[in-house]
Amino acid sequence: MNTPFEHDVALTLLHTADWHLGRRFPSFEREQETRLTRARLEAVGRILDVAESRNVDAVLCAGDLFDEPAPERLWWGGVLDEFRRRPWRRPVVLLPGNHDPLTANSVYHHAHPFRQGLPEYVHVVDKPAWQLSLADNAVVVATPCTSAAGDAKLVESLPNRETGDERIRIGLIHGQTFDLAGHQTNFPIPRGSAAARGLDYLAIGDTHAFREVEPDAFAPTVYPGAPEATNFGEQDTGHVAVVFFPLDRRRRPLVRKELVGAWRWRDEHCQSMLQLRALANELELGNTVLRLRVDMTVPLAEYDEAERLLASLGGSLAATPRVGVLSVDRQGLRLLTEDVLAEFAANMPTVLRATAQRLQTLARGSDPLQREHAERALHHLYKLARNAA
Amino acid sequence: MWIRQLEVADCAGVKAARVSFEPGLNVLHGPNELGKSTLVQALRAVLLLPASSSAADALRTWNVDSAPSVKLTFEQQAQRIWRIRKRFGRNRAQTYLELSRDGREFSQEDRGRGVENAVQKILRWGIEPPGGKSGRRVRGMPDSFITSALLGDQRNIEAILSASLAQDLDESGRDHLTDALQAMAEDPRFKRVLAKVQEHFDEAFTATGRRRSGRGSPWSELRGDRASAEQREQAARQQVESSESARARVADLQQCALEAEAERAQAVAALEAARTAERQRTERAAATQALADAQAALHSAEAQVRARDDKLAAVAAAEKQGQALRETLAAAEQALAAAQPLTKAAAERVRQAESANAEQARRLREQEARNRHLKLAQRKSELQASVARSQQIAAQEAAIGALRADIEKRAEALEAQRRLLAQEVAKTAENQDEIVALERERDCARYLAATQHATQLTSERDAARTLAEQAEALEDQAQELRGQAKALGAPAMAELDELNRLRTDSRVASAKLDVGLAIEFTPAQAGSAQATIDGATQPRKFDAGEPLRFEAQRELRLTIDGVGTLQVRGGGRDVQEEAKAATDRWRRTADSLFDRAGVTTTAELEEKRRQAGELRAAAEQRDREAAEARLRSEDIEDLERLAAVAQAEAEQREQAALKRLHAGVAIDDYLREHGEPGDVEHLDQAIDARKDALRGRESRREQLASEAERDGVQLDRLRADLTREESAFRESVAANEQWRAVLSQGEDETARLERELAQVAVEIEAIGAEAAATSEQARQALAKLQEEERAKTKARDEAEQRQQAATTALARLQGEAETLRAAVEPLDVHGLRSACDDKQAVLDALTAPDDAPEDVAELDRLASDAANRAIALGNELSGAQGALSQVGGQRIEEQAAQAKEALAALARREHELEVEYGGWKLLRETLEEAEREDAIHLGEGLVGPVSERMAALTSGRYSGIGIGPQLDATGIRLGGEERKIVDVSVGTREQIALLLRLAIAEALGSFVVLDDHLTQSDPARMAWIRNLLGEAARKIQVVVMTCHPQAYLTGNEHAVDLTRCIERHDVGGAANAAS
Repeated sequence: MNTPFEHDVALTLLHTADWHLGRRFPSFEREQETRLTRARLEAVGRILDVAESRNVDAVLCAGDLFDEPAPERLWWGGVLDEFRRRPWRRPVVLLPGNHDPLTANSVYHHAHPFRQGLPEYVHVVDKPAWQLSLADNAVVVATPCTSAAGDAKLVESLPNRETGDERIRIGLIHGQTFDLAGHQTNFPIPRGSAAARGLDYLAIGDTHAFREVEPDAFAPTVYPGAPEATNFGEQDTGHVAVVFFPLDRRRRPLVRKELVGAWRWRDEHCQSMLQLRALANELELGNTVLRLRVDMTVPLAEYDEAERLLASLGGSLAATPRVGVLSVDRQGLRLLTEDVLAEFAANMPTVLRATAQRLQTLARGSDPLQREHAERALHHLYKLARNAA
Repeated sequence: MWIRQLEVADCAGVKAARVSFEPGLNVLHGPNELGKSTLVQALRAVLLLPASSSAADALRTWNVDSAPSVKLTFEQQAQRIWRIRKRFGRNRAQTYLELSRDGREFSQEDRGRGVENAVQKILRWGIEPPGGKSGRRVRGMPDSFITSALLGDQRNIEAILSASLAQDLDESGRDHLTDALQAMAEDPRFKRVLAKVQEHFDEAFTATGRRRSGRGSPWSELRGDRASAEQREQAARQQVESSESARARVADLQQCALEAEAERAQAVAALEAARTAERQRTERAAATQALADAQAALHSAEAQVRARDDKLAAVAAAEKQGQALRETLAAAEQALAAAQPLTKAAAERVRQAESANAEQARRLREQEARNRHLKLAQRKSELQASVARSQQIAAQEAAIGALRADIEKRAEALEAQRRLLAQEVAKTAENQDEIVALERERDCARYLAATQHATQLTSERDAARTLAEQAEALEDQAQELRGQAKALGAPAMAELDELNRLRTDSRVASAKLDVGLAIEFTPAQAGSAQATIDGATQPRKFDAGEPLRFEAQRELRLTIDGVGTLQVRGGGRDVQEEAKAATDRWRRTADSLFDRAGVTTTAELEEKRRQAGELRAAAEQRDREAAEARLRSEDIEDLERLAAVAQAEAEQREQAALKRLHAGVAIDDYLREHGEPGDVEHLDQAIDARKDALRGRESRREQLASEAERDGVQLDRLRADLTREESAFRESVAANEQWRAVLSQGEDETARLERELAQVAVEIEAIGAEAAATSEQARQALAKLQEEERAKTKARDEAEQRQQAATTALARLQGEAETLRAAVEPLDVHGLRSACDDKQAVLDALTAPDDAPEDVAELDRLASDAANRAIALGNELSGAQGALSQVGGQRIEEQAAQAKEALAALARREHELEVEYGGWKLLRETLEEAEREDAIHLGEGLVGPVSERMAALTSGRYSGIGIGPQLDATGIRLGGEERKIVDVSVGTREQIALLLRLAIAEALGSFVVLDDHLTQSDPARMAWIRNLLGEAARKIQVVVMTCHPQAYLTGNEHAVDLTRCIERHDVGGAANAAS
């Protein structure tokens, strides 16, 4: 890979965080939830592949790798498999975060099979001011979260640079910087911490968006964000940070954002058939989590078309879904009840015509639920009458 | 539904009866008074009458104590066999309902009062169960329209014909019949729709409309998910609340700890303050005393020093006064000495001023000054003119610069405007191209749509033509089939019936000969004989005295060799003749029919009849198909016309599309290149939109072009102005090459000239003034100087006197001062003041305590209490923070948010499911309502089968039976005229009633019991009806109770001789079997 100083790189790191393995997505249907939960584990494989292809010197995982301290075996077992199938010597450092704090029952505890099963090259930060030397020119210093919440400034527990220590110093902390508006700050990380502790790079985790906290500071402080988004509205997710430390210590480390996420979370609001058709005609929706709100009042034929388009997006017994994960709010899809009868075939049996007429009257009534039922019933009748003909 | 078995005990004279039935036609025959009607009555009672009803009294045998009981087994459908057991009586009533799959093993389903309800639900005959909705109490045997039809007494024709659904107390009968008749009359498309709707309905709802709850129910899974989600949401909410509560507690404790710490600090401070105030009070008292002492010493010393200093000051003042007086004296003497030469000089100036040379010199000086002033003024004027020219040039230069900048700016703006214009022109062209492309596509789409429409219409027209041809072919086929049927020579139904009747009569007549014959003959000697028994001959040898016994049914002939022949026949002569006549009648008829059909047996004749029937049915089928094809091809003319119009339109569209396309481009080539065109309407909209845009663009382009032109003209004008200005500027510069230096230095030079001019003007003025004033001034100055000299002489004298007095006073004061200095010399006033200041500083440094002294011990105790409270709160706070770190945090909030989102998603899914299945449910209800309304005239469902049969029965005389909406028979058509039912003969009414009953039973798929019916029918109609019953019995169970079995028995029915099944009570109460 080409870097601005490819001939004078002293150290290369891969910095990741917030895998949230085992996270549930209960607002989706079970099968879709499983797909999303599985996607997080697949992202781990891609992260480690990037580490291998970039030949990094170490991988730093800055907390919240699991969504809870003691996840099901499926998740930590999956991570173990990923580690075990790589005959690595490059160190991988796992830091407990506020979602998976270092507690007596957590996966990071010495007695837990996950911890016991980790290969030698994987290290767990299990005490304050923990240190790991990377070759002879760098050191990682870290402090784990030991509870789900707290106002302790963990970064202040990291040792300062000692006089004469010329090594590259990398801090590894899970917590929140003070500049997150509207968020309650847990394990705060004050601005300027990297410089204050004599660090060349401060690797932090918690926020799901990729963000360089102090872009102008000489020592970068970076959130790599979650490798796969966890909710709608999260921006700039799906990355890891690859960090290059130059031999020339007067130069600032280079932080490069690399894409590892496969899924795209989208919020769409369709207010016309044109929009819905355009959405249904999009090609690449297989790895999309789509939250779709349909809001329009249409004639029966278009109502039927909208139903078919939604069915094609969401799939059915007979067809593969076109959207990876779909959540549809179709309460706003309403039927235009004017002149409904004109949309039925002219030679429809009298009794079916009378039924349609009655339903049309009900669809114009005052009870909103009955109106909805009547509209849907009209659509059912429309489909059946068409098929029966 | 069919009856399998009926058992009766102690019921209306019948001690016991047990009758087994079969599907199809059951003929139960027996003589009058045997109990046939009792069986029908028992059947009605077990199905309709509650066991404890007083109406059951009619079933009792008047002379028997035992309660009547009835057991009925009937099959509702395959593997659903019911058995009802009832014992009637007000006090001894018993009722059981049992169910079986095989008719052998029964399990009890219900007993007691519940049975009535259950039975009526099974039957759906319109009988209201006891305690039903109507609240009407039924006296006697419950009755309804269906019971009249299925179990009615045929003798009561009026009751059957006038029975109406409107009289039913319960709607079940109407619903049952509605379902049945609708099923017969429904449109197949409606049936398909209804079946599909029912499928969806069944997925989510039970038959009663309740939501399904078992596995596979769409609600179940959702309900489970909803419950889990609610549980999760509640748990998450509780966790958040715990977290919030822990957080609030930490915040409260932090606040309390802060307050306790503040209280503790305050108490400690108060204690310290009290202690300090105490100490300060003591220290201030000592310091105040020391200060007072020092101040007293200082005051004394200062008083002495002040006295000395006052004296010394007085000496100094005296010395100073003496010195001043001396100086005054010296000054006075000096002034006098100075004044004297001045006075002399003034006297000399008076003398000189009054001489002529002085005036001439002054004028020369004045002329010289005026000359200089004139030169300077000229120089200034020239300079100002030069500066003004330079300024003008500078202004010209600035104006040129501004003009040039303006031109550049306008040129840039003009260039931008031209670029914009070029873009607009390009876009306009692009837009026009798009419109052309869209119009091509639209015209191609119109062409395709028109072509498709034409093709469709042509195809419909061709189909209609084909249908018409098919109809013709079908009609030909029907004709041919009828010809074939006729060629078969098959008998008519009535003929066949007549033949069967004759055969039955023959058989019956022959049967009367079967009386049973027995002969016993004892020969006197041995011999041989030929015995012919009922036509079968057998040889026989006998010995003397051996009795010979022969038995026969009808005829016996014994021929004894050598003796003679003995012939014995059963029946009298008339019976034998009747039998022969019957056989002859049958034979004649049969031979005639056999000849016509070319067959030799009745079976073959029936086969011919069947074949002919099939051919006629096939012909009718062809006729129906032909009629349908004709109906469907009715629109052929319209289709011809429409297809032609559509074809013409397609051609027009094609011409239009070709005209629009590039020359020589075929539409197919265009479509291959550009793919399928879009929707015409959308294309029209797109074209309109682009045309609107184009119009806007053209208007903007024109506006831009006009602006650019105007700005270009203006710019040219400005450039001409600039050229002119530059030329003028160059000329000015050539005339004033040093204009820049002049401009920069002119101001300073002008100022300098002005200054010089002012000086010279002052000089001229001074010289002018000098001429007038010099002489007078010299005199006045001399006088003044002389006066001053005199005053100065006087002042010197007075100063000399004062100086002498002061010297004397000074000597006295110096003596007194010396005395005081000697007294003060040992005093250290400075030291005393310094000591005093020190003391004051000490006192000032000491803070003044509060007014009232505090209770230090009490304050000490309060401080200790506050410290304890602060420590306790600190511990509590640590604990709460620890708890918060375990239960709080972002994760909990995220989980709560997730749980809430999940619940909202489930609510959406639930709503969607509710709307989806609510839609199916509503559709089902609405379909049923519409169907009910559509089919409210139930009579129309029965008119067909009843009328058809009546017409066949009466050979077309009666047709078009009128059946009302409530299924009551209303009228009949006779020879094209309407007649009331009551106006036709009893026999016809009887037959109509029978046909109506059969039609209803067939519609319901139920058994029908016909008790002693058709007493008024003639033999021909009876034969026809017998066949009708056989035909109906292929679909339903028909039970005929009769005392005339010969009228029904054909060998294909299940015949039950009731005399073998019924045991009656004798008159005295003892039972006797009927013979």
